Amino acid sequence: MNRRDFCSSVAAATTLTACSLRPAGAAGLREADRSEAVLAQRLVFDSRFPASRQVAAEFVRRGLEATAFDGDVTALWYQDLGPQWTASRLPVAGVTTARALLCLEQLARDAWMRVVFRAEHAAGDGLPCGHRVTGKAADVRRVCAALDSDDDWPTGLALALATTSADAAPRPSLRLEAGGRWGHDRRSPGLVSWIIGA
Amino acid sequence: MRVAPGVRPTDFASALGEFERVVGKDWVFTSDADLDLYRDAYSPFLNEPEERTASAAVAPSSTEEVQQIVRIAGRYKVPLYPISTGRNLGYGGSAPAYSGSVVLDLKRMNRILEVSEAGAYALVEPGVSYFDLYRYIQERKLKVWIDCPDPGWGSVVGNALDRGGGYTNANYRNHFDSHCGMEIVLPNGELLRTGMGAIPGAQTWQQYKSGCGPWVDGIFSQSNFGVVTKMGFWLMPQPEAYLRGAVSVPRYQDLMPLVETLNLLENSRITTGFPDLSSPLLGYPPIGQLQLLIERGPPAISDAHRQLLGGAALGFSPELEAFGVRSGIPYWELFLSYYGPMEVVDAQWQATQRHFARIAGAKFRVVDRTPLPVDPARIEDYHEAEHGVPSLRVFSIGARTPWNPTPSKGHMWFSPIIPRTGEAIIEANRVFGEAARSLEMPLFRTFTLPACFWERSFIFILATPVTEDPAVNRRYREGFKKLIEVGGRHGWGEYRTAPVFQKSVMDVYSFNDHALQRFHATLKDAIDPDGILSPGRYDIWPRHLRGKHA
Repeated sequence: MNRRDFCSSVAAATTLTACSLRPAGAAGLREADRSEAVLAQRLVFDSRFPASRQVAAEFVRRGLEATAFDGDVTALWYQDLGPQWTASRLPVAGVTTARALLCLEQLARDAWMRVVFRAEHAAGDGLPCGHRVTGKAADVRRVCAALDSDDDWPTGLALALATTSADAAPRPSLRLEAGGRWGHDRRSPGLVSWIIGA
Repeated sequence: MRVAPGVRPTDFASALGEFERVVGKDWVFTSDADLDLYRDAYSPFLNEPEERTASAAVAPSSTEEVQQIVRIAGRYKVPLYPISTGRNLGYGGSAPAYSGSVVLDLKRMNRILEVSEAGAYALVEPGVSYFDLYRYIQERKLKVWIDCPDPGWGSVVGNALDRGGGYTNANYRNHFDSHCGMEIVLPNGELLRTGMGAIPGAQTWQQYKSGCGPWVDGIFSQSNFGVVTKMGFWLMPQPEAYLRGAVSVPRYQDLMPLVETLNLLENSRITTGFPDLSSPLLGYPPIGQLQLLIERGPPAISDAHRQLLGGAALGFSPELEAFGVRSGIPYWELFLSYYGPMEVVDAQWQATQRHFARIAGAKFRVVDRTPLPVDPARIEDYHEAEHGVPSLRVFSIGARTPWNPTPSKGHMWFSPIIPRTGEAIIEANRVFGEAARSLEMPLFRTFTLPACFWERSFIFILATPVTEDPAVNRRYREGFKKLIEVGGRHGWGEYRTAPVFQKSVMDVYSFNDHALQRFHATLKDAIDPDGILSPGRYDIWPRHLRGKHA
């Protein structure tokens, strides 16, 4: 039995309870943006934070699906991602806290999936947001350029997540900083954007 | 290609080739990207040269494949490190104790072999998680509960073998104690079943624990004497009702009779749920709300209260106590849970109040009283694990906040066992508090209360952070080892620890010139003379590696 068959053999029925947003007649991405690579089909986002809501809205505007959760990943994983990854190992993008990503990253290992792209964001009152991006070299440079040139970073980030390859190979090899001062302001939660792929 | 230590590259390549012939090429992992999955996410050596990593990983799907893998490893002297789901974070995770070992990933062995509602037991393979078992029971509407840790993401077998605990009734909370029967692949590839399982066609393997003759199950926990491929567990019949009561007492010294009375009630089986000790006056919440404390900080208090807290030593000052009495803020509050028919839990609570009423000023309140099961839509009103529901809610907390401005990259659990007395709680705070301050360890910011996973003893569980700074991590590691020594000098030992600290912890168990460790070595030499399985786990080394590792 190969890896794909193994995962299918333990699939279970699921009921989605997290809120999924689907595009309603929204413009899709250009084919050129998404034509060749394996890309994340949906975004999960922590609905408690304005920046993550903004990324999700942009994701939906570009014709993709976004699923909200309120910080607790239990239902999201138990009823949605867990069975999905067991059945099909589809890549997923996300904007969450670091601890939620740690949890999902550990659980993704059950399906031999892993974080293939990661961008940490640190915003402060009145300060431009700093970003630390880790992934494949070409992706990191492209995303950092986009984050550097765009004050509205959640919008730029949404496009980046939608067009960054979710292939696990080659291994992430580069980390760069972009945007404002890197470091964490005490008043703002740190968010992480990521892609989990196989 | 990485190579296991002490193995010639050609032999290692041959072993990997034979592994592939057993499990299939897809299930032998050698790439850096694949082996990254077996790093300890909370490693205190993260990105340092001393970080323990795997040379390869192999994932069998059956007991027979495990036997073949073990025999191949024995022929080529390749060290193996079995893991179940690999989520023992804070205690070592999925990384091998002996760096360079081949991880034997048992995740694919995830069959739930039996769940008997009438017999209230389950038989599972090591890759079955608490979520898997919970889902199985829910889908079939079986009237049994699991007992799980928090978070509930780990392996039922793995958690029990590392002697972890949970949150429901006492006879299910100690996960190793609640097991019944095991199947083990020995280092020579032979298959062993313990207890009544040693009888072919046994009918009571999950009903009677010890079989006849020496009861060997214990040696397969926190050890490296075999690969457990099946394990039975007793399950709690779904209770009819739940009652949670709170006993609060006004004075600092009331801690002593509070704990004494709790012990009497637990040992008499008048209360069997997870006792949860808190201090409203000191701002120490019950365990189900501890994470909220980390997220949001302590509840808002008056300036006068805050000032008095700052002047307390070992959690006490006469002025603070008087303030609490005047303001009606209890010094200590103990939450007790009861499961069973409503008329029984009501009677148990009545008896509980009668016993605690001997403490002057004790007050009582019912926090909850409800038929079971709880409406699933309301489960988040509870600490889910106390209702046998696995949860990941603990990961919703930890965003950077004013109270938690520098969330760490993980933690290491410092978890000594102390006596079940109020005096021991105060003494442990004094001893470890002084030691932690002198070592500049970020523990014991305030008076700390123990966890009550076990009957008859307390665990003083505290988290030491893992950071992004190797120099800080090095200081914390050394400080952690000193705390272990300090505990040992007071007769307190850890109940469980990560590989990096296993030698330090086992060195504390030194009665009669380390007779226990010498006994472990004797068993290792007899059972696993080539040292194939988990060299160094809990400081049990094979002869050829003994004395060579710190």
